[in-house]
Amino acid sequence: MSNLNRAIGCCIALSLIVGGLSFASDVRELTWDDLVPGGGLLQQQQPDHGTGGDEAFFDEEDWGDDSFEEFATPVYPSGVVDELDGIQAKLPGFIVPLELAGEGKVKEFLLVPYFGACIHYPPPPPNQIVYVTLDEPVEMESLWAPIWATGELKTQFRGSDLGSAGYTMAAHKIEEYEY
Amino acid sequence: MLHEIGNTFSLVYKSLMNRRATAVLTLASIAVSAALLSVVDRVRTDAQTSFANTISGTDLIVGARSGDLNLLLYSVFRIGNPTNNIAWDSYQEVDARPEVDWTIPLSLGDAHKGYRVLGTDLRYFEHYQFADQRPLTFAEGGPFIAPTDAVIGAEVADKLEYEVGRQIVVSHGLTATSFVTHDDNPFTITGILERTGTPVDRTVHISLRGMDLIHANGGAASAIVSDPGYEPEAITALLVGLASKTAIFTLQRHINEFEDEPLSAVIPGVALQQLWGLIGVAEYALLGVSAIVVLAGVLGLLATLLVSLNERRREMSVLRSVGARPGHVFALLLSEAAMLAFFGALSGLLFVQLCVLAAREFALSEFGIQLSVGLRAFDLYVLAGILGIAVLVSTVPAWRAYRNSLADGLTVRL
Repeated sequence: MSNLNRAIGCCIALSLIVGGLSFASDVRELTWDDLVPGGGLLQQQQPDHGTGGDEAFFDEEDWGDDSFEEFATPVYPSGVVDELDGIQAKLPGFIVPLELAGEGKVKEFLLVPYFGACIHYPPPPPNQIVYVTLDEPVEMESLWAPIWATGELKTQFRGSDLGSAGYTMAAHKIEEYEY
Repeated sequence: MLHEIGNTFSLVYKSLMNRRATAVLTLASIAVSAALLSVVDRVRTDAQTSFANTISGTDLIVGARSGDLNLLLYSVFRIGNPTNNIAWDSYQEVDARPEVDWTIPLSLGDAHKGYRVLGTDLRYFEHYQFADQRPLTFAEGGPFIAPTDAVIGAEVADKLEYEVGRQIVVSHGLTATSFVTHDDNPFTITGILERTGTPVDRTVHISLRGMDLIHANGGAASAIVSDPGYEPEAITALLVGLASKTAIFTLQRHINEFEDEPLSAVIPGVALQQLWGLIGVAEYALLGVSAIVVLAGVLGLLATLLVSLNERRREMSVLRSVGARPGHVFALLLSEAAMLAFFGALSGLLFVQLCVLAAREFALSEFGIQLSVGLRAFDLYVLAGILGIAVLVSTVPAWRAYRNSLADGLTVRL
């Protein structure tokens, strides 16, 4: 009888361990392109902060209206990837704090792919922003330090406007991002 | 064992009482350093919490073109002055944007007996939130209805002993002793808000129409009262709540690039974070200095112990003669340091509690900082830290006393 009990106990323990492992491996590490239907931005361009040579910087020709317009308005496919709804996801990004809890802690924030929605670049479209809520406020180092956020990802629709569809995440883990 | 520890402590106590003056001074220096460290950290965290609690649920603050911090400080914390007004048309244009769920117009610039007067409308009482998305509630009365109605914060009501129904006069400018008062348009208090621990408590709220009324005279004033479709020309700032948080950057960019006039939109959380970054340096400098003061206090304790060793050689010899082993002498010195450090730090922390109780009201009304009473985790770290360092450094005099008592025996040559 006690042997049977022990066997059952072992089974439960084992299944717990296996369950825990499978839970851990269920977390999907995502990139920002994964959040866009069709897998990536069309004509994705990195913002140019004028790191080119001085020559290019002062060259009037380069500041022609056409090229600037093209740079300022890359084409973003809107909408969300439905299959990501409800998965455990891990996503890197920058914090834009919304609700603070004192003692340097943050309760709600927007996770964005580049720092503080850099002014040289158009604002990120709704499907490149994740609205993250936390059960427990976490300390944030600074606005310039990227992090990993892990939690349940949900797609969110507001009305019928596909362009405003976005993601929310109930995060349970925030880690520093190591380069 | 227990008995022995008890004996040691009563011996330490009696020995210390014999050297009352030095013991009390050492205790005091430890107490002061502990109090300093505790109070610096308390004010630091309480200030942050108070600031973070002031605004909640608001996604964007919009005002005339200025810096993020300036806009946040004057619109929400009523610190500093607005750079410029924004046109009512611009306000309506922002309000009509599809991303916008609600807006609250704010009009600043006047005062009543040193308390700021805020012109707004009923959306303020509906949408303004503080401390973890708590809405404003009325302790008494209700929101303003007529152009000459006013709603006051809890502190205004307390300090000036105002009640619902009382008539007040609003002056132009910010100070209590402004010479231009708008005597001809007295306001009637219709409501008193519940205490929030934020600048709302120190604000007199009136309608936008009332705000224009105090700057108009004669015919213009009666036109403001009688015209049902009256609209103000300008406001100072507005708070915006969004239907979807993800639209925040799009709207922010739209406002920052507004065609008709230069506007700024800031995300309150980002501006607050900038504020921490700015004052964080000073905070850590203060904490560092306080930590060094603690170190100085403990070093003072060490010096006193070392100095006392020589004059206490006979005391040790007497103890040895009645059966104390050198180990006992070592333990005696350690417990003396531990006792001084523990009670010193404890009295320092208790002193902080008294100070906080005494300074609470002043800090709240002058700086808007709600100081917390009660021991916090940090206080326990201070206590444990000082105790630990004191015991650690006192091993030096304790070791010397141990050596001396081995060498001296009963034959002390003084």
